[in-house]
Amino acid sequence: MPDSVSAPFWDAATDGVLRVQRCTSCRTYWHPPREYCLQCESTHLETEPVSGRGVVYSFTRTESGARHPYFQKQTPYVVGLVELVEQSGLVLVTNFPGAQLEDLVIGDAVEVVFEPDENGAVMPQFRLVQVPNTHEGTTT
Amino acid sequence: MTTRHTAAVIGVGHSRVSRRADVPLGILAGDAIRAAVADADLDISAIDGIAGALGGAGIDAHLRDGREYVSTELLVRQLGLQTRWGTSNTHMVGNAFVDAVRAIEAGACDYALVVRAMHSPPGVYGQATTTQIPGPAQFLETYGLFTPALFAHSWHRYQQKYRSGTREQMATLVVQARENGLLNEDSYWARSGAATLTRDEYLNSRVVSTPLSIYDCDLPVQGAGAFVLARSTGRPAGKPVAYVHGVASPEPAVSVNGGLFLLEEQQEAARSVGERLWEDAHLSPADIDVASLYDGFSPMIVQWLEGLGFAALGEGFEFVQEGRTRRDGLLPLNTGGGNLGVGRMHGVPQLMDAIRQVTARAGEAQVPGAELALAVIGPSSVGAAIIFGSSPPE
Repeated sequence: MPDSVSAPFWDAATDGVLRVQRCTSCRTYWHPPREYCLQCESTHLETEPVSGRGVVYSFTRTESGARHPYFQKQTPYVVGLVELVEQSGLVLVTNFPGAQLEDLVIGDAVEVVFEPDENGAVMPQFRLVQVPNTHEGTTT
Repeated sequence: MTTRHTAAVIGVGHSRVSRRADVPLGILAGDAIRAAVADADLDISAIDGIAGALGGAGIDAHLRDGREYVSTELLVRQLGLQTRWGTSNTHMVGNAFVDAVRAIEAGACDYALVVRAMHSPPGVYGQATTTQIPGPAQFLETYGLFTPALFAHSWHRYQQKYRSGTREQMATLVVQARENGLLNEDSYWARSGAATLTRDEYLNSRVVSTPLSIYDCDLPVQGAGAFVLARSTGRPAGKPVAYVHGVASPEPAVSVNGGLFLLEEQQEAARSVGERLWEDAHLSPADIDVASLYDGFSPMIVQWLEGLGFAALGEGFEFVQEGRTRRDGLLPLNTGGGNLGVGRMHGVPQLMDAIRQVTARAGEAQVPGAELALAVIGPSSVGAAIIFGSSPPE
């Protein structure tokens, strides 16, 4: 449920842009967004566009026991975490749409994509970056 | 410099345990307290301090004190206590226990109760009721990230990082937890006549969130546990006393990442608790005869083993094999069954196990000659630890 602190993140997603809250004073990123910066207590926080690039931090496949009717119907589904390249420990949740559990390796490069949720609201998601397979000598 | 501890546990009590709420929770808390006070050979009028914990109760406006949770204020009124000191915190019972140790040692009270009551709601624990998810959870639950998936991803990362931690390795701990729990009179599994769990049953059990299956998660139950603390001097000879040798309160720097329980953050928090614990107790892991490590979800056991220094990072799953954690092994582990063997009583099983071992009251689970026992409560980012001894600290 977007609120005054989280709305800029979701609004940007609707526009197809990944924006993350950042302190204008000490430049620390925060996610989830906060009322004030825990690093310097500044209340001047903006939601800045980021590269949308990151790496797989970890993941799981929920196969039963999801605590929401929508996700109960979605099982089995993958859910995991991506660490953005902008800052160590800056982690976002994602479902790695299109990826099977077996496709994912911690540390693999990912990039942001935008997908609708159950109600049609646009959510940032992440997919594996396709690395050209140079071993087979293919050219692009 | 730390000074030697002077607090001790002089009485323990446990209510009956049921799968679902059948009587108001406050009555079970009263039962546990009355049992603990009787065990200490006290009249309840002697109690002048009380510490409770409400963590995990998910308190909000529609929950009722005495039914879904029990505040210390309610218990003071219900039991007619004349208290000089009290605290109620939002962590688990380990934090309340450490607070009570400090209160006794500071002279804030003479006889302190520590109480923990756990509610088991109907239906699925913590069921989400709306798609309109407020607060930081909107960044987790809108993607389907709920407990226990929150505790599964760190195990997955551990597996890939250390090339260890298979379900076959975990089976050793989970099978042993049930086996030990069946020897424990407080255990829901024992009271309900459950059977042992085989390795195959564990390995073939329903997956919840990979690699966690249903038996890696503790079972929600309804019940209460209570402990009476006092200064250790002047106790009548022959009465069981568990002397406090060392304590460590929860890591103050809890994750600000929205409660994501990231592997490296949990590892660092456990290491920090261990550092403060061993310094406070003037002891090291090699001194511990019995360890009761928190196991609300099974991977937490290994996080604590490694964080506290019983095994190196990445080697905890190897450590627990070959009988090393059995009653006659190198490090008897969770001899009372832990949460997995008892039920979701948060820190009560760990405290009860360590206290019973050093007072030679663990029955069939007794480790002969157990002099020092460790109780650890909570996921490491909110974890507290207490070392108990069969004799006072030197």
